[in-house]
Amino acid sequence: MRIHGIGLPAVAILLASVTFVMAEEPNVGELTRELKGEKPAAERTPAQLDAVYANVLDALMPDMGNEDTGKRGGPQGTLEAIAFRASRPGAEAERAACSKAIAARLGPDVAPLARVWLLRQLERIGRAEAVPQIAGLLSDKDALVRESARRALRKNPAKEANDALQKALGSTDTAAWRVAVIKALAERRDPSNLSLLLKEAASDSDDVRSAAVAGLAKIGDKSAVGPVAAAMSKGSPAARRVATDSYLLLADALADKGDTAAALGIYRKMLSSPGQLKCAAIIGIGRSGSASDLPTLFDAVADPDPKLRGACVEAMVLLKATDVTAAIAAKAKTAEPGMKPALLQALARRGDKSTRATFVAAAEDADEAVRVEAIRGLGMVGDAAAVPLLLKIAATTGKPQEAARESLERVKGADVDKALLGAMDGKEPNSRVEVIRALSARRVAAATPGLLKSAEDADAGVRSESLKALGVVAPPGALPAVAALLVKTEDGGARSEAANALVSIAGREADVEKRSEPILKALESAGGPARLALLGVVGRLGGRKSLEAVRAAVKDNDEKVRDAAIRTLADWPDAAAAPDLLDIAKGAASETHQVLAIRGYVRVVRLQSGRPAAETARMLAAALAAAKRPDEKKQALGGLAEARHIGALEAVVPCLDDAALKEEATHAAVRIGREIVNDNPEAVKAAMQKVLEISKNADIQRQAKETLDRAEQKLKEAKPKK
Amino acid sequence: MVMEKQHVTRRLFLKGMIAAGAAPYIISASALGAEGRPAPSNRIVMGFVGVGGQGSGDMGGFMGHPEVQAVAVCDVDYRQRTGAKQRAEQRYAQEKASGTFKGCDDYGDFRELCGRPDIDAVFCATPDHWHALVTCEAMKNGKDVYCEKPESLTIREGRIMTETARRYGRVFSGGSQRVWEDYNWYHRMMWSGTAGELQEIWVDIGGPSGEMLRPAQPVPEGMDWDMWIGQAPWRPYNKDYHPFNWRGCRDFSGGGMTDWGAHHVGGALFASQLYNKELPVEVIPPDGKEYKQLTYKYANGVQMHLGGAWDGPLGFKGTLGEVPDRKGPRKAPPPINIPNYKGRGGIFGDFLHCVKTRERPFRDIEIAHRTVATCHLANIAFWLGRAFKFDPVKEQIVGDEAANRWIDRPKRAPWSL
Repeated sequence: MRIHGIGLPAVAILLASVTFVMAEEPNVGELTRELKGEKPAAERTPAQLDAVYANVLDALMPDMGNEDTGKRGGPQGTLEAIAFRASRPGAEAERAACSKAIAARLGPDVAPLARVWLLRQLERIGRAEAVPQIAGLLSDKDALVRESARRALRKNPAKEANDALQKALGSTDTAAWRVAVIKALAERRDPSNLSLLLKEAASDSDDVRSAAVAGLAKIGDKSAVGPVAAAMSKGSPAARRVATDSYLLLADALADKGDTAAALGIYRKMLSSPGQLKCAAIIGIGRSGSASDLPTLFDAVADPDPKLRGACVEAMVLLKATDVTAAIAAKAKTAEPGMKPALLQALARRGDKSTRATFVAAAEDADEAVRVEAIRGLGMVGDAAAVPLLLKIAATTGKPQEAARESLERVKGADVDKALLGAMDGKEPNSRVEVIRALSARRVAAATPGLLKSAEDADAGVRSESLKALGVVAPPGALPAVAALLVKTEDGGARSEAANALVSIAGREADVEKRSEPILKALESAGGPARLALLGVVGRLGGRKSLEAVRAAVKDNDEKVRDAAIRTLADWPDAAAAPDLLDIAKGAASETHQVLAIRGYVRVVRLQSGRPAAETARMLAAALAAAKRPDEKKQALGGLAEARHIGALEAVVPCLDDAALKEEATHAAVRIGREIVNDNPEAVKAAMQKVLEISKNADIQRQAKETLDRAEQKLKEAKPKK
Repeated sequence: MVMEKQHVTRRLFLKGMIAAGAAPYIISASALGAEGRPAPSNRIVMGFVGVGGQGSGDMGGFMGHPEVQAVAVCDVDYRQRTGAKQRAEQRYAQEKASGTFKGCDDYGDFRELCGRPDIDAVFCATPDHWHALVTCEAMKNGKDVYCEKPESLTIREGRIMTETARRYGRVFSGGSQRVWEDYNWYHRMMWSGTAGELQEIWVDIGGPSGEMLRPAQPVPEGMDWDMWIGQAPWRPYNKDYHPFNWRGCRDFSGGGMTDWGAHHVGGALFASQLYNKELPVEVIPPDGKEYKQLTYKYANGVQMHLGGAWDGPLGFKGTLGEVPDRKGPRKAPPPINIPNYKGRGGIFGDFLHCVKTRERPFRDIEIAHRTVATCHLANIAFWLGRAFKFDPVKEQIVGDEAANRWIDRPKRAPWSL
């Protein structure tokens, strides 16, 4: 056992305790399982834990740094699992013991690859107990070890880790390493590093200075304002850019700490900068400023640069003072048209409903962009009073119409729905259509009575929109009324829309049998096209009673009804219709019906179900037998390919000899064979041999060969050993 | 020809700016015209960082938008960046011949590309461990950003990316087109209230990344391996890492968890309207008993499980039932308006529109961050094999100091955010 980095007396004590513990502890394999959490752990004292972790690590160390990745992967993975487990909450003694054991194995005679891996574990679980050994590696001759040690200390929460990094800064031998250590200190965001970073911020090296000012910004102390500002005019453009970014970041940090005066000082200074820096300054002013900063924002919002205007909108939204809203609203009235959309956008996003009048006025503006922004704004700050105006605009065209429709959907307020319901009887059909669209988009169930009425409106557009809306908002209680509409209408389009509405409304009834009751009731007395449409509806709903009704229709005297019923069965939502479909496939006089039925049968059998694979195989084999044309037989073979059962293979094998089906049959045989080979090697072997004989498809041949090999292997394994 | 006209317009605009005494530094940004406003140029000048694999395809997608002008590519692999440069120059061959396009420059260091003042927006499709560093550098240089998913390597990175975007007022779109496009049916069903009040979510997803040890191999010619490694702990080159197979390695990626999670978790959070809410308050890995799958608990009582979806990658249960309904086929979703992409042309078009209008894109970085952070939390729970509580406001793991260390990872010097 090798122990590194600790004094001789400690080694002696540890060895003694290990020897003592070893006498009572299970073997290392069992201990490893324990430490990985694969078996219950015994109760141990801290000293016993130290010994156990030391023991297990020693067993892992020999290959921990092996150049052969195959050999070091195992111990490295085991150590990681142990470290992860040891770091769980409530197991501090285990974590500390694990960390100590890892740290003790970081000595110079351990391979760098192993030390790098050990350091990675300490990066994840190490605390004060590991700092001395890790710190010792900050000056290691191996660059990877040194860098790994730096990262391990960067993540170590102990004060000792910070102290070690500070100390290391004093002895860095290159600018690159100095930068690395500064960055580790900076990422810790520890205020005790402030003075060191302030000193480094005055460095003549661009890289060192940049690392330091970035760190100062992260700590966010006011004392850094001057040094960071000074760095903005020093060195290369890249160094200046880092300093400028740090300056802005520092302002944000100061603002977060409540020092808005200091933050605003920075943002205002940056206002004279170009491009994104000015945008950041503007947004910063929005975060920390007041109404007195609005003239600055108003000036910037007039800028032709859309990015700057976008930043101004953000800033105006962020400004917290209460008098800001009124000032923006006042400006929006008098500003140049080019500025108004941004001002209205900001005002709307501030969400103050007292500004509604501003939007109402701007909605009549001569400039379309202003109007559109105002209409959008009404959706955010408007209320019921805005509904008539929005409806009027929604009945127009173009972008204002789009904006008004969005706003009608979005506008909040207790009386908005009431206002829309009140507008359902409006004179203009276009306006009525918009009212219905809005009620539908807002899902106003209370609109149902009105929609049932408007579904019979003289205007076709109103009727159509009403039926669509009923599908969205009407409760299941409205099904009889909507079914009556379907029966009554003579318009094919309206009938189809009513049928869609019935399906949607019925979907809101949880009980499958109750869903179809009102439709079945209507079906009893319906005739002509309505009867056919209702049959289609019950088919889409499914359920036992629906199926009975469709079965009856299959025997109807009217040929059109029979045809509709068979088509409905073929589209049935589940396998309940399977027996009926198979009967029709076998016995229908019409070839069309036979084809529809067999296709429908295969489809419903292939739907997800809880039935045993044997049963599915049997049902699909029946389809194969009943199908009269190759096309339908191929569909059945497609289904059989998914059935993981010997019965499926038995049904497929005869088709291998059928030239018209050979391609699909070989595919199916291979797919089934792969799935069932372990339990049916004999049958699969024979089938694969047959596939290999007849298939010319290279991919199928490869898969068949693999499956055949597997079958032969299974047969070989099954033979009793002599 | 459109491109030629755009160039002329842009040149005239530049002339006007200079005459007005404006700083040329902001030429390209100011040249962007929002809809309805006089626009001297409608071209968005883009630079592309990470142009192999996904990046190559995406670059082609962006160049398919007439308003995009690709002028620079960057990749640490010489073969990939020269290939991308050639593709850009082929795309603009006519303009190059006429002298209106000066060619596409190629770089091995993203900082050079990000520092170019003529670039408006930077696209990033590097391996995951580079996303935060590249995109923050771009934003600090005034660029808007489109970044492939998963947007971050750690939760802290995602937060810094969001803060940087907000600080500089930049548009930042994440890169999952699937969230809106592939899971649209779920969104329509869920936003229309089909499931009632949400109780549980199931999301099928890939597994976490882990250690991935590979022996050293010679670094391919033209490959800057140290730059490729970047912030990650150094390891020798192996072809299993680059090109492409780095995703299983924890130092470079969160694995299938963040790769597919960026799509599927993103879809689940959007469908359930948790996408703009706080992160979960508790994460519980599977224990084989009460919790068969990794489970998140949200402050509102909703639980989300990784795994267990049926009939597609997502599943939802509410007071009115399940979506999809296990008992029947999928239904047509009700007609419903859901805020989604702006502009034209999918998620790229959404980003380009927002660059012009300064709106927030569909996959704004805050939304992307919350999605990927959700996946990072699962990875931490899987790696450590234990449950923990999470403070979604501070974005810190509570009561488990060692687990909390995974919120941020130390970066290899000299890299830092």
